[in-house]
Amino acid sequence: MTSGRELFSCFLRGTALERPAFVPLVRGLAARVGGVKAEAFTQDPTAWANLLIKTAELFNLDGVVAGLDFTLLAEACGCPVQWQDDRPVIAGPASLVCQEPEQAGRLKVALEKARQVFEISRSSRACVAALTGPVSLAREVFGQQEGLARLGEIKPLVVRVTEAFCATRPDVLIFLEGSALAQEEIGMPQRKIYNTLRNLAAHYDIPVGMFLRNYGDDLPPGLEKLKMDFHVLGLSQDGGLPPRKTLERLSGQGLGLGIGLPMDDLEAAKEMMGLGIDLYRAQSGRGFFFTSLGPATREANLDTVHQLVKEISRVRL
Amino acid sequence: MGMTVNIDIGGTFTDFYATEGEGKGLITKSPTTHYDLSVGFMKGIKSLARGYGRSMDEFLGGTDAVRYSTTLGTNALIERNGPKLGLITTAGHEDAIFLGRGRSWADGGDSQGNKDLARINKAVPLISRNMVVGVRERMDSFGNPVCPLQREDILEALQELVDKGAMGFVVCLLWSFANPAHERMVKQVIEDEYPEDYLGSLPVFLSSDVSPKSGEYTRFITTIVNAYIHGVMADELTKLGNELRDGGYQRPLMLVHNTGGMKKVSRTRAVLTHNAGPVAGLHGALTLGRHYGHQNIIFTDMGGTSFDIGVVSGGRLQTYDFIPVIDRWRTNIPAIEVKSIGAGGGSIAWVNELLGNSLEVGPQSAGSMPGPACYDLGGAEPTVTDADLVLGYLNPENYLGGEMLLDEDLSKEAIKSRVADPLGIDVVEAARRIRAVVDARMGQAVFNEVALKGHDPREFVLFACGGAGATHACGFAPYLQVDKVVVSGHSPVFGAYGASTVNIQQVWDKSHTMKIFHYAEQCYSQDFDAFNSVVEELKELATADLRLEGYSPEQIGFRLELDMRYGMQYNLTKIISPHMSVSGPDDYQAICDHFTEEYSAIYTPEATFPMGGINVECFYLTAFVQTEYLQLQPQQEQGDAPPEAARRESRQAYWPSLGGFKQTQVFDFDLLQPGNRIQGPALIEAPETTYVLEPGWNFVKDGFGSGVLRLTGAPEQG
Repeated sequence: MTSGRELFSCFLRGTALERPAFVPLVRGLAARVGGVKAEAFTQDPTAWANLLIKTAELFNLDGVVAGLDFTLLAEACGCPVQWQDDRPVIAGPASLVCQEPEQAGRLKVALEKARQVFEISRSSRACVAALTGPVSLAREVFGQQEGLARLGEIKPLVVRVTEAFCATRPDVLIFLEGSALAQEEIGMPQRKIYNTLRNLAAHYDIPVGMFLRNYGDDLPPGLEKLKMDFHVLGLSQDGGLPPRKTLERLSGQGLGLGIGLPMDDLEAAKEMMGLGIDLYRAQSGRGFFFTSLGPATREANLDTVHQLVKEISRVRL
Repeated sequence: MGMTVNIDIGGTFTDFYATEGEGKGLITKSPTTHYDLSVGFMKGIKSLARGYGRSMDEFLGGTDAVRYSTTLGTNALIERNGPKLGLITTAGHEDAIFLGRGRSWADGGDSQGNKDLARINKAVPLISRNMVVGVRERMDSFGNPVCPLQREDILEALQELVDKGAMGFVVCLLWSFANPAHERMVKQVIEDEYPEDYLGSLPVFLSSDVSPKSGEYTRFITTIVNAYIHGVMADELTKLGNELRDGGYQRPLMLVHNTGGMKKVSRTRAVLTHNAGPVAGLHGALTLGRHYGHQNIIFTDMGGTSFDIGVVSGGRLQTYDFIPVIDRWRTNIPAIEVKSIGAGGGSIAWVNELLGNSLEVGPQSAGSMPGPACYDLGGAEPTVTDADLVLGYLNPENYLGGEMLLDEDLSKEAIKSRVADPLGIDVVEAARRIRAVVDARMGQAVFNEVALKGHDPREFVLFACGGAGATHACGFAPYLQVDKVVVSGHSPVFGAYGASTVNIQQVWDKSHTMKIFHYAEQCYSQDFDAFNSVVEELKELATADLRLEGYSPEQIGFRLELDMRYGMQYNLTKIISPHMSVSGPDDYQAICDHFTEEYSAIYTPEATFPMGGINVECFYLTAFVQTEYLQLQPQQEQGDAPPEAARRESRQAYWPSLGGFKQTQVFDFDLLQPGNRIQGPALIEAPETTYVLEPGWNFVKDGFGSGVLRLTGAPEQG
């Protein structure tokens, strides 16, 4: 049987996949699998890594995703963070951007977790690194009005964190962007920062993708100027699934496309899967994989996840 | 001749040079990936395969040899990621490596730092004091056992080191080069206690194997350095070998040595790979010089991180006169001498507030990550490459043949914030000064290595190599007053080109003191066996070793060198022996005459001291097997005027002697014909480098595809 890693390698090489790979973000799910609170296990890189690996093994996922959520980066920007309902939330505005963010606090733990996860999983599963994109981060930290204008202020931090993340040697790096990028025209500030991040990832020989959600009726003008190697589409701003024409448009660019599946709604997931399978077949099995519509929460239906894995494993050209 | 792939890893770029048959070699560069050198290594090989229009499998499957000059060992020393080692030495001498020798605390330090005696720190030892144990034993200087070694003592020492976490053992006993029996006994005991088939087996390194020469400090340190980098290198090279094999390569990986030869990985001592890249480049200069008929060459290689300087004098490479330093450690390896200073395209410009806001360039380099600001990898420090870009010398869309786009705005921003604003000058003036400072540093360093070592630079040809060599040659060459500067077509990857020219070779050395001229009796030694038996012993070792590499004795050539000195003197002088063996006093006399000649050339004839007699102290037998390399065939010259097709769109470039930016003609190096001449100012763009031809300089593309530069006007004093 082809391993998840082999499948994802086919995606990265641009060759036909025996079936689409399934690589969802499962941090919330991992907490449930381990029966522990996220606040507890995210203090210990080894426990965190073990839980992610255990979750991937339990559901027989094709890859592991090690993520740096928005609060980790916001915290490095000087925002205070509090835990509410076992989720970290930002509790105040940014103060002083940390000079060596990768060396301290929760971010250091998260990077070490990623290193361990990838080191252990590399032989059998795809290793995906995901982090909040700089444009969304700037908006969250500095507010809607100033976010874009102050993008340069967080650039050194984002560069350092991205480099540290690349040094954990993932197979791909995915930036998660929301409305801050998805609903604006892509201009020079966005292009400049993504140009640097793309160059940086290229130094580590890592393809770069963008997970885009909260987009409008159409994708933001100039998105292709960011020259991402691939895109992943989440929900649109009105909570709808990505339109077929948009998917078709993106599937022909770079390495291809990932489609997010809702992890708590089997019917909606099947609808998306159907769309995805059509695209997969239309592309002769090239340039396509499935992921989740966002990080799966601990409330996700486990049967749905099992069912999705089962369904995807049956897909053939 | 089949396909060969030659690789040289530098601090910023990894260089590749492939040859196939008699066709033109193919060159490429890839950013050095310090986090895992194999990534940049395999990227470059993929690029070569694409260049030949083949798949990786086809390309590597058809490759006869991959030759590699690596910095893995150097990195291990810099990062200090070697294993925890235990040292077993003669009781009473446990502190020898910590006391050091002479001014060894200054070895490998920068000249400024070494002057600050109040703050200088000794290098942190590779083996801590608590990991050194002594065993009772003693050989005398003739190799006769004076105090026997007891197995119980060895076991006790072993247990102590293992309990403290030793992951390997270094065994360095006094006079072991004269008689290694005790060191071998220690090894035997270790192997008995920790056999290779156990997971806990521990590697053992004997000084009598690694460095069988007199001088305990350098012998101990050479063995320790070798042991320290051995494991790291073995792991990385095994991984790389596996990647090559997975890619289809079916032959052994060859490693270039700092002695000017190469061997299979499996037959290479780690310590011999240090600084092999610059040595390979120097060997390339020797080879290219033979094509030109040049006997005296100043070799320079300006890369991204360092500026290497070597000398070919009288058609020969020079080994270190004194003691090669690896990182911070004095060793006694018979390495070829190449000096490096921290000056390259990635050297960082900074304002030294402690010296009245003087502008300094280097020695720190931005390396490949983040690299110069214009690489747009997040770097914010201004570098020499940034200055070259701002001055209009580099084409931002044709850097590395267009593989890397440069961002001039980032260069200006970096120079403005870190240099121009602190100095109160504009960005262009700051860029000009950065360039002038780095050129002056390089020019002065070359002058020191050549003129201050007794050579007249005007009798030499300057080879300007490295990715930035052609860009800065007109800047540093005037410091030497050489008549001719040669920038080879291979210069951007000259270390890799040099690797393609080295032979299978290793130097076998052994200390053995013998007086061959007795002044009081005015006669030469009658003991011929003593000389011949050492040479025969070394020959046997070399032949057995090369046989294991698959070469027959008929293919092996030998060269004998001797360390000699006058009795009662300290300094040694190395000579090439006119005889491989001696059979009568005349042979000894020929050796002594040759020594006297060499000594006189170095110290003047008045300094000779035959009254002390003449000693041979050490034997160096170089065993080599000639390898084929691409012979350059001179092309017919086509006339002075460059073809119209070679002219590219002109652009603004800054020429201090012309008062500022001027519209400057740009040429395509590849489209120039042999014999074409260009008068500066002009810019000539090759895929991997840019020639900056300053006003007053003349360029000719010669029949070997090199650019030959000559200063025809007044030297510019930037």
